[in-house]
Amino acid sequence: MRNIFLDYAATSPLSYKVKDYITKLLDVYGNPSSIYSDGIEAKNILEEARASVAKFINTEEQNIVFTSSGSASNSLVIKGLTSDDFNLNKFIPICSPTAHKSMIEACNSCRYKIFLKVDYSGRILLEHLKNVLDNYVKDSELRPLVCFEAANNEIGTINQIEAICDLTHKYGGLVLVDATAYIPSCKVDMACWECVDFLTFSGHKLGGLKGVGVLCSNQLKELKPLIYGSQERHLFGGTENLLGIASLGKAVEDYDYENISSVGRDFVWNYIANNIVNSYLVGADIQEQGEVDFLERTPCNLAVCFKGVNSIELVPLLNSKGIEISTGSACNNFENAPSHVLSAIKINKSDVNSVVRLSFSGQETLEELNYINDMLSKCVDRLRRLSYRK
Amino acid sequence: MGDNKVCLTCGKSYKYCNSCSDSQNRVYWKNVYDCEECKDIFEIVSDYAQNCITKDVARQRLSKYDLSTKVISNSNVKKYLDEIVVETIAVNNKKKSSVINTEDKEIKG
Repeated sequence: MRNIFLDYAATSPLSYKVKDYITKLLDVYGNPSSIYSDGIEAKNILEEARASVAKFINTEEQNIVFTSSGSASNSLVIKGLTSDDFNLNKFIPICSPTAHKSMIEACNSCRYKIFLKVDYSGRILLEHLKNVLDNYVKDSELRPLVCFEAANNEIGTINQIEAICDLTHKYGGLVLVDATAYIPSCKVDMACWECVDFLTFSGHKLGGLKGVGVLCSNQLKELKPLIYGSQERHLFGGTENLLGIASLGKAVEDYDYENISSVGRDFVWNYIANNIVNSYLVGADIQEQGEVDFLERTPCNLAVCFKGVNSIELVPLLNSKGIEISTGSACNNFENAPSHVLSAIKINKSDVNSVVRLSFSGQETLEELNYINDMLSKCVDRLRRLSYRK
Repeated sequence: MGDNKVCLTCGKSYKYCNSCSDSQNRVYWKNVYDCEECKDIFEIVSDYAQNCITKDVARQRLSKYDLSTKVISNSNVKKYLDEIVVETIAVNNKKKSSVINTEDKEIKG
């Protein structure tokens, strides 16, 4: 059996259509900023991609800025609205503690910042947000910039986006939503999400090449540049990554949400719940394991704790059986520190190193799903029997 | 960087980092085992522990490794190894002694 990739939350493969398209573009070497024909050809490809991305999320082309990654897009908004100069600074970032590291560290780099509280599922506590806005921002000269993820990239829970936006706007603030973990499996329609002031996402999780991020906003004029130069509305300078941007434009052209289903995730979870003892769905109420509500989660994410199993050992063991999963966010895999998401949701300390993330394409076959279940069961059992690291 | 990993099979400390440029032989199993032999031994022992293979098959698969020089400090792995290997030695010794007895009988006869 071929390798089964179950880490679509980390990245996604290129489709044949995208590969074919970018292969043809390898001979386009013009600089999109040049005014002769080769440059204009490159510029047309760039703008076609922009139009495709704008159509994908139902917004105007002028609202789209291409950057080098989702992280760059997050940094552009946070650093672009705040200032280290006390007299010039107009915003105070208020950040979700379960957000992507790029968001958390950009907020941390600001002179003033506040971190929110989340519940056991990783969702922002609206009551806490209201308290923060009342106590720290209401009578302040600084406007709140509430930064959070639409869906969590490690555990897949979806935040109450409209409610957070509405509350923030009541206090004169702006909202930055990182949709990187949300958009691959849940459609974004900016006409319905008018309340979102700044939306960011990454290209390679949608089937594009790595090295492309998107920022969407109709308030781009509020931002200072992150990289100086004339490209991308003077906000993200440097010659554009034409191939990467074109690949994203092509990937989202006929992106098919209809084909993305939670069937695989549910099938594997049902097997785990019924066959692998001492395991639980992370971010769910442990008392109600029999009736887990997946509605507020992305359909392809499954974060599971196998008690007494070290995830650092389980991942290579499954890899040896041809199954590729993650210990959490791919961005955290090189760090020894426990995941900040698991810490924020206050997972039991003894379980913090026993969590793995399976992220499905939604198109796995029954044969593959059965194999995954069988191997999960065997490998968990092996480590419980044989590992001395509990 | 000092030793940062402990081998799942033998318990030996070793150095390996996915992100350091000086880490050689970047293979997935280096996150868990210090050498390929330990990886193979763990596979065999765990197959045996889960009744996926018989003791004879485990014994045969382990025969290509020199376990007499290998220090296994993971007591869980050692327990199964002993079950497979020590009993093998006992069986072999028993076979040997029965051969000697036969020879003795033949001489006496």
